[in-house]
Amino acid sequence: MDEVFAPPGVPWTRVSQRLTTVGQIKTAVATVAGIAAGLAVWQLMSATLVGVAICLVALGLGVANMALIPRRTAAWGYAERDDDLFVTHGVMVRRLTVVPYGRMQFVDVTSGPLNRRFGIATVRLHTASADSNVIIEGVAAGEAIALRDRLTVLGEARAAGL
Amino acid sequence: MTRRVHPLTPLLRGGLFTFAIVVIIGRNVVEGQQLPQQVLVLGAAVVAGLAYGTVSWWYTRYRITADELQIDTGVFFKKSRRIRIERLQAVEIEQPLLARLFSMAELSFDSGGTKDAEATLAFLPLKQAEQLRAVLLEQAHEARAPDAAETDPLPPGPAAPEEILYRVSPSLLLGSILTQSAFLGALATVVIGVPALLLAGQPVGLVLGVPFVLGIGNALFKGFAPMYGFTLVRTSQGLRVRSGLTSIRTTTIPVGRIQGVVLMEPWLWRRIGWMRVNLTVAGVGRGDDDKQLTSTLVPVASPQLAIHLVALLLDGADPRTIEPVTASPRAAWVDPFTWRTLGVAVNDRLVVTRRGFLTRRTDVVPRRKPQSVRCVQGPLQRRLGLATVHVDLPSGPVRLEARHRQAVEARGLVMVLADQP
Repeated sequence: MDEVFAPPGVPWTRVSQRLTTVGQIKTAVATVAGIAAGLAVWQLMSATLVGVAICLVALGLGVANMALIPRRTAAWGYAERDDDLFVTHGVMVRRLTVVPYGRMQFVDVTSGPLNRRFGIATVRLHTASADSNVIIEGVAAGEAIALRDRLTVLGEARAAGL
Repeated sequence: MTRRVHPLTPLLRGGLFTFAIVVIIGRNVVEGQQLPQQVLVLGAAVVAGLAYGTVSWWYTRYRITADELQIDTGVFFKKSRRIRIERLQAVEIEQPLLARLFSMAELSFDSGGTKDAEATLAFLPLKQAEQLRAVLLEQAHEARAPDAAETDPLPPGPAAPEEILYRVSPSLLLGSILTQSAFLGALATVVIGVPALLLAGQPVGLVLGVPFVLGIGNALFKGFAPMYGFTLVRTSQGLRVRSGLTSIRTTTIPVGRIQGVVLMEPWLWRRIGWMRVNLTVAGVGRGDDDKQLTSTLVPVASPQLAIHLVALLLDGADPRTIEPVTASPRAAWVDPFTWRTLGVAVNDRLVVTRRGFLTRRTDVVPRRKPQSVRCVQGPLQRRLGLATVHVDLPSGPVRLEARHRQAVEARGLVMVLADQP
């Protein structure tokens, strides 16, 4: 099955493991919040069934996510070829996107406070199509800037009209 | 050098927010809550808003280099955007109400892409905004000048300056509307449902029928009036479309910017021998009227004529010459009703997909037009060894998807389509 998502001649450049750490922190916080909400509902509103249900759902989702996050990080990959960029991600729904350099319009590097703390960022590519949706999460900050600049230069060089 | 936007920006951005707070406080006061408390709350909210606005202003910077416009924003969620100047199609100046009072303006940058990808820069003094706009557009124009103009695959006719390619007669148009499923559905509801309800002793049936009758009238009018007298003309400038009953509208279809074509054949129309052709055109005007007109090649035509016109636009490439390859029977597990109709075909000029049971749609995209190619595989597809390949275009009626292809075939498609000729 993996022949569909195999790298295109050039090996996949993987993202930083710190993405896993950030993901786990976010999941932990969300799970704790969910459990707290469930407890609040249980104790304060005396709705035992609903409260316990919320706690269990939060716990279940949290555990499931914790298991998935390392696999998600491992699934991110990008490969720069001569004329285009390949990006792959996803565990349940797997995706592969190819964007010719000439089609790249904007390249964004974004990072929230948690990402910045761990020195990773998200690189986002825009083409003229809203469906392209090219994202690479968890790129080390320095590498993200370098990637963005490389892509911008290549994009300029190959700029194709619409 | 890096510049900042005008320091009044946080005030202008926060304006609406403050106004809302004032309204809420005012209402509370009128209802008898204590004024000093409310003023305190208001003051705190305003100060907080201004503080955040100021910090966010401090971290907003922009810069123009030889090739790019660089915009860095964000306090917590930092975003740095690079816009290539030669890609700028339009730079618009907008003045929201509050900004107008201070003669400030907001710039919005359009690279011919989606709304999501637009960038804005707010707020600058109007004069400065206009200057910036002029500089950027000039730079963009210069950067593009050396490129050869896109060759128009539809050269002007040799003899006559204008040639009518196709005209839709009013009776044909009426027939096409009356046979559309939306119309038929509403009609059936009124003709069958209302009498049925009445017979069953429910006079409410008459009342319920009224919106459907109005809906039918509306659909007739909305479908008929704008497309009345639809005429497709080949001129020296390219392709022009003219239609309208009460108000006649004329639009030019920029042939070089056609990203793709979709041929639609609803069930009933297939029996009659009609087809509709829509287009995705890049950078089409934002107005609704324009969009409908520029995205319709023919509202209704015989298949032969429709294909002929499509081949004209696609520079002679006839989409019917390549035979779509049907999907593997395994696709039946994930798409039991329409899997047999799924097909995709690629040659050196075009990529064509076909799908749909009731309404058959054929999406055609020239090989050099896709923005990106995607392969998506859900968990069920993975079990079956299938994947779907998408070809992405700017927003429009054309949605080219090769659904549920076998894994190896999907991979092959992606690799072939990635190499744009």
